[in-house]
Amino acid sequence: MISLCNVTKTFRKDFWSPSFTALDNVSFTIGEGEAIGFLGANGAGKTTALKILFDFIKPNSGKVEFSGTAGKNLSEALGRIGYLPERPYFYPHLTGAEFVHYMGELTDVSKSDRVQRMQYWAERFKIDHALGRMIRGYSKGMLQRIGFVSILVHNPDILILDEPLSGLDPIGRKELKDVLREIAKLGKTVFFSSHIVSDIEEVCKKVVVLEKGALLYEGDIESLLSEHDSKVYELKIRTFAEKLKLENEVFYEKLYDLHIHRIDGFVSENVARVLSSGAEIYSLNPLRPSLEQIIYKIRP
Amino acid sequence: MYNSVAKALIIARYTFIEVYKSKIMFNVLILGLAIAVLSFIAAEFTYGVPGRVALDIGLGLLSLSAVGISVFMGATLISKEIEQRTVYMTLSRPVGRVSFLLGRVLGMVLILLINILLLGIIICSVTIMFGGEVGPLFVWTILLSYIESIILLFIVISCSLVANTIITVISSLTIYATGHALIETMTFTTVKSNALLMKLLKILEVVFPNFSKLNIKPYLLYEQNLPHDFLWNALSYGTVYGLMMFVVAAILFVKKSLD
Ligand SMILES: Nc1ncnc2c1ncn2[C@@H]1O[C@H](COP(=O)(O)OP(=O)(O)OP(=O)(O)O)[C@@H](O)[C@H]1O
Ligand SMILES: [Mg+2]
Repeated sequence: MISLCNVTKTFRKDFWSPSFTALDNVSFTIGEGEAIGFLGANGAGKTTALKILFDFIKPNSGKVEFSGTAGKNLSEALGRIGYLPERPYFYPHLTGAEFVHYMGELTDVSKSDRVQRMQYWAERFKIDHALGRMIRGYSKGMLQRIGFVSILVHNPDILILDEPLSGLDPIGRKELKDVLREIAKLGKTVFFSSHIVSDIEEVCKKVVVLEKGALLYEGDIESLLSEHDSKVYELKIRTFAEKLKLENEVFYEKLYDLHIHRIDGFVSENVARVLSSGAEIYSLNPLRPSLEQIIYKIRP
Repeated sequence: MYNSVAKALIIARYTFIEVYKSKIMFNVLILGLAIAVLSFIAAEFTYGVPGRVALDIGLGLLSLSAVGISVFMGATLISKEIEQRTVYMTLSRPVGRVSFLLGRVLGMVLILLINILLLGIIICSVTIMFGGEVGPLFVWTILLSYIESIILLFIVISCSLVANTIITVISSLTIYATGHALIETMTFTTVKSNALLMKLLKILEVVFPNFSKLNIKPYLLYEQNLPHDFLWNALSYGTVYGLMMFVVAAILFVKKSLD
């Protein structure tokens, strides 16, 4: 529906300095009704790719194509997209409500719809108490929240978010992920960037991985994770003085009264051993590979 | 087309609300008060016609405030949006870049209008209080001042799209001063006798805005009248120059890389 085709972008800091390749022949597609994570470390080129998608900056070569629900070109697509940039900022002297109306009016949303949707989303994002206050006084998380309200007020079919979870507290992160999952369930398209694998895993089925300006992977997140999953589990044991001997242990650490063991596969036997020794199992979790581990593994 | 203008008007409205709430207009009122007080003092301490003194001071402060608003607010009107990333929000809505620029500019033009109207009314009242007369030429003077400040605003915005704020402020003030001084320079005898210098000045006259054409304050103060075609001429010159500068700003903004 929205495709970046062979996009290359270089930056030149000064006229005489050598150019730096931020995106190197990158192609990927945001498909209709898909929930896609855009994964990449700091400086991988995620924000640059989105700026090119919205024509804020021009690529050196390559293009962006629109089709289907998105319409035929960017200007048709914009009315159906809700976009929140990285570290968003809004007119400081407008109130939150005024800003939401501004964004709604620019997308031709009727006044009654604006009021009703603003109320709904402001309550969901717990920013309704501050709608009448000037944005100047908003905290970082509040800016992020009013930003979500402002890009949902026209009921978009496609959400494109640049690091939407940064700046939110743990509860806010959970709330946003719930909303994104909900929106994805409605059959809408959700595309958001992050450098945390588990955040993407919780919301998305697909993932686009960028590393140093190059596309590393595009496809199912499940297969990427299982393919590269080390099947390591983390077992935390409490109220036991000595270190237990466990099979296939790959890592051990003692933190206060917690013994932290990481074991590769082979879980049941180890659990049985812990239980019979009389220790208390504090937690047992599969360890998801981190972004660095995945990138390290799939790097050509 | 209709849609683009409609979007520009929405942006203009919110730009106006934003500037209005930032209490800039409060400064206008303070300036108005200053005009009144200064006129009283000047009228007490100078010989001559108190009404004319009041008018002179008032109009001087009026253009000063218009130039100040154009230069200092225009320099950041668009560049701050890019710096603070607010521009991404607006441009991710179905709004073209020209609409966006037009909207921001119209909002400022409205602020300038209110500033000039408020001060104009104050000057008018003070002048009449001192026994001066206010006629149609006063309205023309203010109208042309207004157009001058709009042209300057467009020049400032164009500069701000290619240079940083400090350079923008310095260069647009330079352009403003040059635009006022050019014609006068050409009347100097030393300059007149130098053909090469005259040629250079003639070229500069075409490129630079001829602000002295829009400054009819001396006529208002001393002669009280001007032929109509001179006024219409000045008005159309100002309008055309202003439109041209807007086109320049629009081209620069459409081409600009927003990162
Ligand atoms: N305007 C610019 N001028 C010069 N270099 C730039 C510019 N914009 C981006 N870059 C460079 O391009 C690279 C990619 O930047 P980008 O902001 O796209 O990364 P990102 O994946 O969004 O990172 P993050 O997770 O930190 O947001 C970085 O090395 C950055 O320094
Ligand atoms: Mg980024």
